[in-house]
Amino acid sequence: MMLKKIRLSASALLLVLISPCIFAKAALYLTEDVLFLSDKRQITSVDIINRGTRTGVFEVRWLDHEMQQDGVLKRIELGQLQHSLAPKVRYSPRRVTLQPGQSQRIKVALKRKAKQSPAGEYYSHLNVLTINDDLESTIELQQSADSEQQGLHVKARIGISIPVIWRHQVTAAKASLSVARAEGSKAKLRLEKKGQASLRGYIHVINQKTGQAAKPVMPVVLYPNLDNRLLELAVPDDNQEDLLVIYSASAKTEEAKDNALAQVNL
Amino acid sequence: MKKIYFLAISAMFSAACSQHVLAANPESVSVNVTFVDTVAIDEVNPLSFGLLDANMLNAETVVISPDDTLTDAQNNRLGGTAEAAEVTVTASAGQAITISIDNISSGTHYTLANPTCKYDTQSAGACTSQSQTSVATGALLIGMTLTRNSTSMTTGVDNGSFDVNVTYN
Repeated sequence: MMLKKIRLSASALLLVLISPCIFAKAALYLTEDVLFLSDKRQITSVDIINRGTRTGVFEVRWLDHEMQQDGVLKRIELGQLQHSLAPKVRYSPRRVTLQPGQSQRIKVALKRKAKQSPAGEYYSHLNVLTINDDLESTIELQQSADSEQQGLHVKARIGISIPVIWRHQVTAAKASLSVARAEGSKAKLRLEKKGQASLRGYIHVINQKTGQAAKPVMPVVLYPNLDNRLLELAVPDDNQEDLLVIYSASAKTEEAKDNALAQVNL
Repeated sequence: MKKIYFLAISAMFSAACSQHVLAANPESVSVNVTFVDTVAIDEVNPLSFGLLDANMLNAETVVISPDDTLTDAQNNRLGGTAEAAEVTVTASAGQAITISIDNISSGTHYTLANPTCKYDTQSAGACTSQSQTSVATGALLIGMTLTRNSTSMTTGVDNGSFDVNVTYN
């Protein structure tokens, strides 16, 4: 209990530090950007925090996506995806009303029957959507006869989706990198995946003469529905022969050099 | 000689014991602090078309682009603020994200379409679904095309809405 309190306090402190301004509405924060379940760890959670100055109403739901060759996620109707995690988990609560500064933990747990599922990686996105970012004003407007506003406004209902992944009796996927085409300052790399699980990592382009990163790190994810992706890289002409491309689970170049999942010389 | 050895060893032993007793007195308390990468999104301002002429004709359009550029060939805008929607996305930098706009809910007298997005320093593009690399704090600007439909006009507020989702890949 004490640990949880300290964790939340630390999170809150960090949020205060990174908050760019004082919000005039409810502001949606999540404490995780990905959740993992396993056959051993059958429950996971994420905290929703309202760091705004007004009461917010948030809806929690599942969304399914498939990854396209270009890395863009395409929304699939819930229940259509072969490896959708949504029908295999329980979660609660599904709608929360949070006053400024309040938080709510959303728990996700595997259903008992889920263990009987065929081996594979199951995934869905947990989506938290802001239904109302100023509950006080909504109530005031409903009570007021004069609810006219100046001009036509189109309100954005904002949401965040994070992947929830359950690797059920599958081992980590293996990666390989190859140069599909290199022309002048542009190179096309093929990242291939072997195995049922997804690949989650970063592309590092390293100048072998200096040992330094030649380009900013690029995150690359391969969902289970893909077995390869073509990646376009813009590289400087002058040192193309000295470039090493590494795919690693680490975003830090120094760590990536020692923990490469795959690599290729350009 | 043996006596001196015995005394010296005894002295060393008692000194070591007393040190041990002293060292055991203060209780160490562990402090657990976990810093987490938060993910946040909040609306800075809605997409605003301002005041539109009630005499706007069927199929006439008003377009607001992400950089607030207004296209209003028939001069249907009478005043008020016209600006693209702006939301701030706070994220752990360097992650693969997909930005999508859906559930566009048009008003009674118009339809909304062609959402265009500009995220951080990237160039603007269609944003039904956009793949991006997250920055620590980035502005997402959203413009759209408003087209008057054939529903008979009644003056007053006629607001719409849409969903903006930032999805972590």
